[in-house]
Amino acid sequence: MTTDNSSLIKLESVTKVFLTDEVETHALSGIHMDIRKGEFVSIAGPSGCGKSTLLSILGLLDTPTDGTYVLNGRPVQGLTLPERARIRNREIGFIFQSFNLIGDLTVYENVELPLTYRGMPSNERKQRVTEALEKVGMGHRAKHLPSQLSGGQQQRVAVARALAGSPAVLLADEPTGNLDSKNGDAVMELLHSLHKTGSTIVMVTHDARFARHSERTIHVFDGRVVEEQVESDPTR
Amino acid sequence: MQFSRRELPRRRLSESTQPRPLHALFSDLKFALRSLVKSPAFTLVAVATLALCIGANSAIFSVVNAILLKPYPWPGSERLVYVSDVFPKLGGSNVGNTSIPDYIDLRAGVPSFAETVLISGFSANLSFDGNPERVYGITATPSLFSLLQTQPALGRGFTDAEAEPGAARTVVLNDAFWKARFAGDRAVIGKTLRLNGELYTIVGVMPEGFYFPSLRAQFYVPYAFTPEQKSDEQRYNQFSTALARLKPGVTLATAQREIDAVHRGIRERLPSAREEYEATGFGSAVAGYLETNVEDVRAMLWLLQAGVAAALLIGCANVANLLLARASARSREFAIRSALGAGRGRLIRQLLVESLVLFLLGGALGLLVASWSLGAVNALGVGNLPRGFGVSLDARVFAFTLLSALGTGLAFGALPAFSSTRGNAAEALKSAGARATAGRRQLWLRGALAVTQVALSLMLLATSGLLLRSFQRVQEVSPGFSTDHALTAALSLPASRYPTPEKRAAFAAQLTERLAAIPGVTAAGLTSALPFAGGNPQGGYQIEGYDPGPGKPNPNGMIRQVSAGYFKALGIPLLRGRLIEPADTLGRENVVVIDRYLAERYWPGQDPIGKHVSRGGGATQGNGKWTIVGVVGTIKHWELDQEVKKETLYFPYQQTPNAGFTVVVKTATEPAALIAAIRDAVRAVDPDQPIFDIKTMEARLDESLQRRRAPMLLLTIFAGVALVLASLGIYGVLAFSVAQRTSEFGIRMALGADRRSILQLIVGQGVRLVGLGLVLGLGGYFALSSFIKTLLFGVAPTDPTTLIGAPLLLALVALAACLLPARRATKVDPMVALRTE
Repeated sequence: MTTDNSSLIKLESVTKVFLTDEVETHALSGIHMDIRKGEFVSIAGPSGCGKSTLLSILGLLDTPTDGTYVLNGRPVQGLTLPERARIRNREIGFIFQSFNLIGDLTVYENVELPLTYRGMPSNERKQRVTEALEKVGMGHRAKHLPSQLSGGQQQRVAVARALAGSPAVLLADEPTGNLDSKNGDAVMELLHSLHKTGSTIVMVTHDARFARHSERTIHVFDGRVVEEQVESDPTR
Repeated sequence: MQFSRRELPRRRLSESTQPRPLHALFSDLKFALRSLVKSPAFTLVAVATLALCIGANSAIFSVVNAILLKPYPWPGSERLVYVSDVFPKLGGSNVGNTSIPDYIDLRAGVPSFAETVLISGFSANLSFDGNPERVYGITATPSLFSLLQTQPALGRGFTDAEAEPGAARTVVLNDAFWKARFAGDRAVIGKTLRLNGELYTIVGVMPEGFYFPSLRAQFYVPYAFTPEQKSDEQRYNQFSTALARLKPGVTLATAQREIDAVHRGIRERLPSAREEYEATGFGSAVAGYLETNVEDVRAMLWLLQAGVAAALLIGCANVANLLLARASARSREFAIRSALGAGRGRLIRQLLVESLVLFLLGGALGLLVASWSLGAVNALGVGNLPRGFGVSLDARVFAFTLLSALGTGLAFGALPAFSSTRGNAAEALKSAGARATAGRRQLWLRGALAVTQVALSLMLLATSGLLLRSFQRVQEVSPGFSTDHALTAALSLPASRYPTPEKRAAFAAQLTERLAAIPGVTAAGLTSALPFAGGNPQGGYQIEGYDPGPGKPNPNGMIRQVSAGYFKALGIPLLRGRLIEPADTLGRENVVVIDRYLAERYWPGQDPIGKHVSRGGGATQGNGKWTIVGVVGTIKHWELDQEVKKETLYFPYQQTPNAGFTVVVKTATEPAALIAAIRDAVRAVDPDQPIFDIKTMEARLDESLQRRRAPMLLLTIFAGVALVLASLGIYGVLAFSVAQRTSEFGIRMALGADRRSILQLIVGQGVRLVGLGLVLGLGGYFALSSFIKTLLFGVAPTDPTTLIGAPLLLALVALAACLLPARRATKVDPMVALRTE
């Protein structure tokens, strides 16, 4: 593991309030969080506690109602939509519970997509995509469509897509939620390996078994951080 | 799976990070094509809708282009103008007609004219290989070729010497005539052509594709002015058409000022005619050549283009609805792309590229549709409109189609593009199911599109309904004569063979006698100018004992020479006195039959029989005094929808026989069956005389209605298409709404709602959309009614039948479209619906 002491993600007093008609719903309240480069952090909590909202804010898919968010040394809460899209593209890699591969694109094209948005030359894209697919063991399925893959294979492709752009942080939202235990374990092993090579990973999970793979688990309940637990011997 | 640190080095963004617009566009294009191929049903429906709508637009634009926009194929044709003698105080205009002395004065005295020409129609009997045939040409001053800035491709044009009386006769052929008659023989120059019995030496052949003034003209002969024709006495004898080409940068107003100055000079020079000129307001007016030629059809054609554009918008709204539904189903894909770093602009661009590909495909196929439909458009009578012969798909139509496809693609692609990319990506990503949900905004947008469709459809339906009723009213108008079983054919007696009135009168007398003897003919006659056949000779005359008053012009009416039998053959009723009789011949008392209009205008409540009129000019015989012997019904001469504003005087043909006339026979049998017999009758009198322009009167009246019929039929077709498309739009919105609200219906049913209340819920939603569309449509219709009013006859824009019928029809069809999704909603199984939720 390559954790260094510099902060990659820093949240201070982050709140998120949803307004629907006359009802105010406080999804997050006063969240403080500091994630260092190279860290593997789990965000755990029961369903509806706000952990996915928190991940959306971390991934710049949503904005906090209040508070500050500093990513890689840069405050990001007030950025414009194009700036947020640019940071998502370069700094963040997403891994979703339901894989979220685009059905009309091949495995190769799915992995290539974020690099295309970046405007990367095709030869460099090709090299990156091939490398990423090889690393998740999916190089031989590059020309397949997502529908021709198993759930585990789709999630591997999703991981390759997240990896291909060399993001600063991988955000994984219940990455094993749609997988059977065998495939779930394989994906966790994959994430664990990535972490060992220096990747910063933030994973949302409600499964304590998988949370143990991380170095630190942040427990969220009713939109607040209620406990932080440092794993003394994270499972490999 | 294990990775070593060496295997996965942390690469920072040293790679190229500059956006590559072209590459990205290509990538979007590739994805768009693949995406469309993967949704064949969607692509087929959308492209077919667009192809039909864009194709119809292109077809109609090709008509508008050919008739209203495309310049004539002569360099500088946009600067060509008519110079016409006008008599504003006599009412009406005489566009295109000018007398020879006026032409000579204007040619010399208007500095704004770069060139002028005087032309006149010249139909002649052509003797070619022993077969007499009628051919059509133009008599033109030698300046014709320099006016049109087009010289013969072979040989030369006319010299000034050839346009002198008595000069050797020369002729320039048009390309098609040359190829048809002389097989394109380049040695044709110097050969001769026998026209009206006279030999004309061929001096030139015009280039391929050249025509002037229409495709009908086959040749040109020099216009020679006799000294008499150039005299001041001929200023009221306007049987020629003057054209001029303005110098570059000269406006019509400038030219008109100079023309007015010339006429002031003429009045000063001719004090004896000054009073008459001032009484009639005599002068010349300048008007754009193209603008004047298409004036009668311009408004109707633009209305037609607007109508088909409305149908296109309605079709595009349907495609936009499909795109919205498709974008809604792809909301998850957009969320993923957004999460991977695609900004909203990038997503919008991708959707716009997809829309543009779709619309451009529709446009490309639309051109095929337009190409195929040109035949149908012509069959509906467009080819008979002025310049309608030139309707084709040219570069301008291609550009219009491309712009239509791009414009509508951007506009209607933007709706789903902007709407679908406004959603919350995080929310969309949470959704695990594939079923897409459309937000309230998208449903609102689809509703707005459907309302717009209904509004546009109503405007189209109401307008086409009014044109339809207007057309019916025109058809109901009596021309004042009977078209039933009336067959007509034209003849023109060449001066070389029939140089004297006596010879012409003898020919006509023999011919009408033979025509009347044909079995199946119940009446036969002839006239110098047949109603609804073009040509409308007019002239001034005096009424004995009538003083128009100081500064007022003498009466001016339409002049006809007719034979005995003409009134019976056309069924023009005798109201008083007697008709023209065979005994009204040269040397007998000059008689005239007048129409009711003249009688009521100058002798209201009195008997005009026995009164006298006098006139000079061609109808002069003896002392120039004519006794009124009969009064016949007033008839229409030009258009059924035009009120008669001028009287008609019928002089006996035998007393004033001119060279050109049209015979009319009333038949007891099918008129067409007697054509051969009529031809035989003519040959029996003179085997070298061809007959031409053979038509029934019904056909002639029918042709006069083309200006109204063709656009009316096309607009009605487009209104029908719009009705269907709008209904599909309403259906689409409600079907989408039902699909979205399936679980809601399940809950409602679980809570006790019966099927009827669900049905009412959906139908009510449809009724609100249709109702709003109808209100907006009526508003739009009334906003345009002042324009529509100018195209109507005998029916007001507020015609209650149309204004009730059109919304009612639209509402009924839309209601039927509502019922299908409503019935589907009532069949929702509450258990299934709730499980879905």
